[in-house]
Amino acid sequence: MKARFLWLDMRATFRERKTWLAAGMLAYAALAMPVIAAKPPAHVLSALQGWFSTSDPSILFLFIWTDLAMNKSIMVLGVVLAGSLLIREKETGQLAVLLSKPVSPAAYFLARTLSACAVMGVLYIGSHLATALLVSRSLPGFRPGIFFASMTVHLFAAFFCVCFSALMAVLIQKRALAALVSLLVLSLLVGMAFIGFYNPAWSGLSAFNPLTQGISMLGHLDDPSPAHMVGPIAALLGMNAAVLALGALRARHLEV
Amino acid sequence: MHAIEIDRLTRVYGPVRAVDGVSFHVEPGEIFGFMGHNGAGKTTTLRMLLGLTRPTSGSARVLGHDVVRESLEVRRQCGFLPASYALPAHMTARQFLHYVAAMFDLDTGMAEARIQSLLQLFGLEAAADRKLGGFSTGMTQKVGLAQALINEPRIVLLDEPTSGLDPLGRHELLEHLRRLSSERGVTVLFSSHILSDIETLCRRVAALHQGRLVAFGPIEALKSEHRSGNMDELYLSLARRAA
Amino acid sequence: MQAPLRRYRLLEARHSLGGVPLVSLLVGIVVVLVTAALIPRLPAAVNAFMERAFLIRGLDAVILVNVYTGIYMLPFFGGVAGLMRALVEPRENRSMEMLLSKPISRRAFLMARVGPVLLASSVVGLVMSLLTGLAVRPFVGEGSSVSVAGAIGSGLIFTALVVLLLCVLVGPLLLVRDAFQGLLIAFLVWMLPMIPTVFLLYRPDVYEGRERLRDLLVLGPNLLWFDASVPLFAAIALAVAFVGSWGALVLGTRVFERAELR
Repeated sequence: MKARFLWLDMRATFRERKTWLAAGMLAYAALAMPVIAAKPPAHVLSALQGWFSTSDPSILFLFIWTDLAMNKSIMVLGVVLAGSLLIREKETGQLAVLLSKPVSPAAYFLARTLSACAVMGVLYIGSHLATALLVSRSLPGFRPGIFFASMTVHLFAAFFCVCFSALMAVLIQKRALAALVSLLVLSLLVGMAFIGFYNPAWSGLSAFNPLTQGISMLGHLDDPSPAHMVGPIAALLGMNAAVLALGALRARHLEV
Repeated sequence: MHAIEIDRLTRVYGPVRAVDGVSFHVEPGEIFGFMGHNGAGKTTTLRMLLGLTRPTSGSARVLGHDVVRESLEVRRQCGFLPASYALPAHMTARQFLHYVAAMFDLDTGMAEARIQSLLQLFGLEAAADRKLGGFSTGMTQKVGLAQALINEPRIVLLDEPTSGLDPLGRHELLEHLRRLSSERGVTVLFSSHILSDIETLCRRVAALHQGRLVAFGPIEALKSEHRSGNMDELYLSLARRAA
Repeated sequence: MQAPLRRYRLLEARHSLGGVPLVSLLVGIVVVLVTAALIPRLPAAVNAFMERAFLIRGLDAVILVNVYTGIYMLPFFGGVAGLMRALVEPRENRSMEMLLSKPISRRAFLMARVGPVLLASSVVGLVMSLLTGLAVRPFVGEGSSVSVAGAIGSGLIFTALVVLLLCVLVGPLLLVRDAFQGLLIAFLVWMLPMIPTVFLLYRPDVYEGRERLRDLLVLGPNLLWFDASVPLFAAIALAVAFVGSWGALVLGTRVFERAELR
C-alpha cells in the first residue's frame, strides 16, 4: 500500500508544472554543456588538475558539470520539490483529511519526502543520460564510467537537498521562510563544497559537508574504485537518515 | 432604486457558459435567496457583482453603481463572505479585523470600536487574541462574517455562509441576518444550496440552473405556480423543467 | 491630512514581511564577513587562479568578486521569498478573493504588498554593500586596483539589479498558483545575468575581439575592471533600475488587473 502511495504521489508531482519547468532547466544545462566545456582555457585545466591531483583532462568537464550545473540545480530543486511539505497541506486543510486515514504524520512525512527524492532521482538520472549522450559525441576524452560513478555518489547529495528542505519545512512551518532558510543553507554548503580541495588543510572539516561528500569522486579520477564510492554514499545515507529522522520526529508532534 | 440590479449578465469560460444571460433585482433591506446546485453559477455571479470577475456581456448595478466601472465604490458599501476561504493563520482575530478595517481606511479608534462590537456580537471576545490558525470551523466562519460586517455595509453578499456551521451556529447566523435586515435595513443576498435555510430566511428568491435563471420571484408564488409543497419539490421541479 | 490607506499600508508592511528580511540580512552580514576572512586564508595559488580567470588583480579584488555574488543572492532570494508570501500564498490558500472584495484597487493592494518587500531587499543590499566597503578597507592600499567607494558602488549596482529583477518577477508570480513554481522561475531569472561571467571563466575565447561586449556583460568582474567609474555607474544603474522597476510594476499591475483570480 505504501509503495502504491509513493507511486501515486510521484505521478502527481510529475504532472505538476514546476516539475516540467525543472526538467526544462536540466535539459538546458545538458544542452549548454558541450558549448561551455568545448574550449577550456589552459589555466583553468591546469588549476583543476592541481586541486584534484590528476593529469586527466576530463576533470574539466566533470568539474563544470558538477559545480556549475548540478550543484546549483539540486540546491534549488530540493527546495522546489520538498520546501512546502506539510505546510501547504496544513494551510489548505488537506492535512486533516489525509491524516484521518490510517497513516501517522511521521509516516506521511517520510512517504512524501521519499517520493520527492524519487522525483529528484528521475530528473537527475534523466539529465545525466541526456548529457552523456550529448557530450560523448562532442567532447573528446569523455569518460562515461567515471562520469556515472561520480554522479551516483552525487545523487545522494541531491537526496540530501530534498531531505533537508523537507526538514526545514516541517521545523519552520512557514513556507516562504522555510524555503529561504533551506536555499541559503544549501547554497552555503554548495559554495563550500570544494573548499577542501582548494585548501587541503580544511579537508577534514569539509568532510562534514554533504555536498563535499557528493563531489568526492572528483578526487579519485586516477584511481577510481567502488571503495571510493561506498564511503561517501554511506556517509550521505547516514546524513539523510538523520535528517529524515529529525523531520519525522517533528512531524509526530505536529498538530493539525 | 433597486439595491442590486442584474441585466442579462453573462460570463463565459472557454466553452462553458458559467452565467448565461441572468437578470433579476433585489430590493433594499430584503433578504434575498440565491439558490442553485453546486456549479450553477451563483459564485461567479457574486464575484461579478463585486468586480472580482468581469462579465463577458450584460451589466449589473449595486446601489446604483456599475460593477465594472465603479467596483471600488461597490466594495466600499458591501460586505462579502466567500464560500471557500482561509484566514491568515499567523494573525489573531483582532489583528485580522484591524487589517481588514485598514483596507476601508477606518481610523484606529473607529476600527477598535467596531471590532469590539463585532467580537461581542459573535461571542469571540475570549478568542480575540488567539491565532486564527487554531480556530475551529465555526469560529473561523464567525470571523469571516465579522470581516464582512466591519464596514457596516449596506449590502451583504454571503456565499454558502451556513455550510460548516453546527445547528446552533446556523441558527445564530440566520437570526443575526434577520436583525441586520430588520433593524439596520441591510440588504442580504444569501446564496446557498441549502434550501431549508433559504426558506427560513427569504421571501423572494432567484434560482440558477447550469448558469441560467430558471425562476425569480416570491417563494410562495413560485411554489403555487409549480404546485410544490416545499422548497425541495420546488427546486426539483425547476431543475427538471430546465433540463 | 493623513494619506489615504496609510494605516493599511503600515499593517500590510508589518504582516507581509515577517522574519524573511531579518534572515536575509543576518546571513548577508555573515556572508560578507566570512568571505572577507576566508579568502586571505586560501592558498596563494587559488587566489592567483581567480585573479587570472576574472582578469583582476589583488586580494581585495578577489574578495570583492566573491562578495558580489552574495550581494546579488541574499537580497534577491529574500525578496523572492517575500513576494511568494505576499502574492502567491494568498492565491494558494484561498484568501486572495476575500481581500480583493474590499474597497481597494488591485494596484494599491499590489503596491502595499510589493513595496515593503522591495524596500527590505534594498536595505539588505545597502547594508551588505556598506559592510563590504568596511570589510575590504584593510586590504585596499596604495596601488590597489579597487577602492572602498568602488566596492560600495558595485554593491549598490547589484542591489539595483536585484530590485529591478524582483519587479520583473511580479508579473509572472501573479500568474502562478504554486509558490515553488515561482521560485524556480525566479532562480532562472537570477541565473541569466550570471551566464556571461560563466563564459569568461570557461570560454574566454568567445570574447576575443568583442572586448566591449565583455566589459558590458561580465557582471561583477567588470565593476572591478572599471573601479574608478563605478560611482558614476552606480548613479546610472540606480536611475535605470528606478525607471525599469516602475515600468515592470506598471506591467505587473496590468497583469494583476486583468487576471482571473479563481
